[in-house]
Amino acid sequence: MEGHGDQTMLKPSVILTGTAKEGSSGPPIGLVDIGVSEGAYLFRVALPGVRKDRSKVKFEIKSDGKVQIEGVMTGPGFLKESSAMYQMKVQQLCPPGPFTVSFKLPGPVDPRLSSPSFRPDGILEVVVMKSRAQPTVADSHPPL
Amino acid sequence: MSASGTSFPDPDWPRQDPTRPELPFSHHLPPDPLLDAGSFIDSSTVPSRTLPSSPPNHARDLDRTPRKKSDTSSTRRSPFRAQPLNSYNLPSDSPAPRNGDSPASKKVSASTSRGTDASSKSALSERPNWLPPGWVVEDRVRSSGATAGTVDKYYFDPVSNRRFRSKIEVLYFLETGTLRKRKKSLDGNPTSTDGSEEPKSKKSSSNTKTAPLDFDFFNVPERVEWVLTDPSKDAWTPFIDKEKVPEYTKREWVGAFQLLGRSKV
Repeated sequence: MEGHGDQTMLKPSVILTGTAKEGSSGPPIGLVDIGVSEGAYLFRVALPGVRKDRSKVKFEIKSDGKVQIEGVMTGPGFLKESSAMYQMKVQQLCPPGPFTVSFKLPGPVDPRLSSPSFRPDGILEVVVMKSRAQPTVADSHPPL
Repeated sequence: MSASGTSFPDPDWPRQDPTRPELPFSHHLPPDPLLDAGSFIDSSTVPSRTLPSSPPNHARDLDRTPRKKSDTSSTRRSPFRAQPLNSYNLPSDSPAPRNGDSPASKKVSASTSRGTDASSKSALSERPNWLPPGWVVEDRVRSSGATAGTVDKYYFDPVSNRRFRSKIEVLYFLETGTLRKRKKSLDGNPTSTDGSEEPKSKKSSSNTKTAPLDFDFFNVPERVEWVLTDPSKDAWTPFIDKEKVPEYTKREWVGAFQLLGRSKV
């Protein structure tokens, strides 16, 4: 029993659980999920560390489905109060500075019909309607 | 203790007053900027905001500003109800045939000159300059109840057919694209009397067909930029070519979005 206790003590203080445990092969920022429904697309973009209040988050949607997200990654918060300079020995989080995340949705959209939400957990979640200008959805709104 | 407690306003109910003791808190309108908590309006002199659930009339929906009182006596208890002109196709939540008094509404013609006067006054009244294009303003005169004769000003959103009862409600909706929050009704007579509520159930089906008619689904702009302008509220503002999209335009977008979202997403 005590052996188990010792093992716990020896473990590093960083504990990863869930999806975070599966490695950081991708960039820590800008992971994108895209969902499709009959009339709309949904995309979710991971923006960990992007602070709502000072990151100037914005995104552009083009009618052909291209999306570009812009923002500014904020640095460590405590540096403001501290005069110490830190040379980063481990740098796995996105470094401070501007960034963009670009991708393309599977089809044309109506950039006006968008409902964005920057969730408190750092996920930018946006629903955007498929373009009605295409005859693909002519069933309920037949072209005039 | 308990007996004496009844004579004191509930601390959680600061606006309770003797003239409308039956009002559940859930029916209270949004906080009144002109009426301090704890105060009340005497219904005998000024329009009181009776509740949607109060049966006999449409004396509800009162606005906050004092109304013309000159015509009160002539219309008090009058059997007819002010009938809005048909120039605007009211949503089904308009006060029309409710509470079984629809027959009264048929008697409009029988009502004296006062009736026609009321009708004409219910037509489009002077537009405030803060109102976006396309909105409709209507003055309606109450036809019955203790507050008959008072004039209520309503604002109609042409996109959603929503009705608003005050400038405050309109501006809030224009700014946020959402309705002012209110508690849900507890008594099963929920939102039907409030046109500013989001259209639901039976009404939404018809609106689904009519509301977006003036939304051009086919003229899609090439690109729109959405900027997080109010992080605390998660409020996003669209820009086209670096130009901020006007609030009422954005609101049309939101309306169209919600419409599509209801029909098929």
